[in-house]
Amino acid sequence: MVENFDNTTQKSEQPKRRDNRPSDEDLIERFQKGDVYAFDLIVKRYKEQLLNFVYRFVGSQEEAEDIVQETFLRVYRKRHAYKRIAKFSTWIYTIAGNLSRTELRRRKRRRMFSVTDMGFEDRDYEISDDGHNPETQVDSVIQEEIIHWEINNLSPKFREVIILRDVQELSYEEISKIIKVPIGTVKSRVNRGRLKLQGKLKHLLKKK
Amino acid sequence: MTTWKQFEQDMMDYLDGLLSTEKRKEIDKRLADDAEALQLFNSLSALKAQLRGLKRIKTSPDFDTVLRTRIRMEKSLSRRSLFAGDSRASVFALAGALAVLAVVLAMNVSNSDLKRPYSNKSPLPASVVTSFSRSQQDSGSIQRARINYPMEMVRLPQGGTRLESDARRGVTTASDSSRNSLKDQIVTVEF
Repeated sequence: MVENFDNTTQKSEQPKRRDNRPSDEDLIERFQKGDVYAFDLIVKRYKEQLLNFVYRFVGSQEEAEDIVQETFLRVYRKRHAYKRIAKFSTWIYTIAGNLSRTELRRRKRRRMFSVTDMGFEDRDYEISDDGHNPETQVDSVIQEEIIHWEINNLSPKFREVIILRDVQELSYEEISKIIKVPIGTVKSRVNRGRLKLQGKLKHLLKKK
Repeated sequence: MTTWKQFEQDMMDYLDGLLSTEKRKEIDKRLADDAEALQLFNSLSALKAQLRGLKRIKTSPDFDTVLRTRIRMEKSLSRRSLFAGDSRASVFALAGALAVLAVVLAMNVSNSDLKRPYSNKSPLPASVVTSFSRSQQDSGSIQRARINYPMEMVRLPQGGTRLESDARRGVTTASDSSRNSLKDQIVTVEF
């Protein structure tokens, strides 16, 4: 017996073999019919994928966890809004992406207010540290931090597609559905985002 | 020879494995001949590898517990809002009933007003009777209408309406006496 997200206990299903795993679409359909254990499986399947996507997007693990929680809550609440014509992953990534964008907008507003509230001499602008020399930093943790920092310095429209394409490795078609822009635009954003990152991380990449 | 911009685009497709065999060969050839192109390729493929290899973070140990709690709260809230929905419905029903009642009452009032013999209507100034000439009426510039008023509702041109001061003093004016004599007659006012 297991406790599930619906605060009820029910007999756990015999876990299916990997090659016989129910698809995401099957799971959400089961959940729509009232099988709350299917929701548990969805959470298990997606929580880390989404967390990594949102974390790279918003830059903070704490906020990312909160957004992923909210994403699952929305799935729970709006489960009947999902129609099988779309891939479930597209739907859930769209929800997470929208929530992340909302968070970024909120943060931008907060930052604007806090900057305008300060006197000129008090303003503490965060200026990109272009002077760091990655050649001297060999630690992979630091390298990761630098990459993460530069991803976060991209504008959200480039950042999102770079994460979805190069970190999450989704197809251009799926990204196009998630962010609701044509495939051509997605490809162009990915290309420009990569070139921007490549320019910023030149020294680091040369070492590789 | 393709432009550098076009080459960058092709390079991205090359890295994504989206190029035809023929196009791939073309890129391979350029990479062999052009040092700058090779440098871009190396840099971009290293970037792709770095991004793919970024450390995957894990959810905190209490992630599931927190989510479970939030869902429970959500459920209890939705139950509460369901009740709120019921009470809202009853408020709407009550408001609707009141509105119907108000309409019925208003209709009754206006009906009784129609039945009442002009007592509450304001007096019609006699000037209205004389303000339009026959020619104006004939030319059609004035829309014709016919209203029947009892004589007492018409202010006479001479002497005017009964002054409040006269009424207070109990003085009977000329207009009062003519009004009294014509009390039951009907005057037709034409517009």
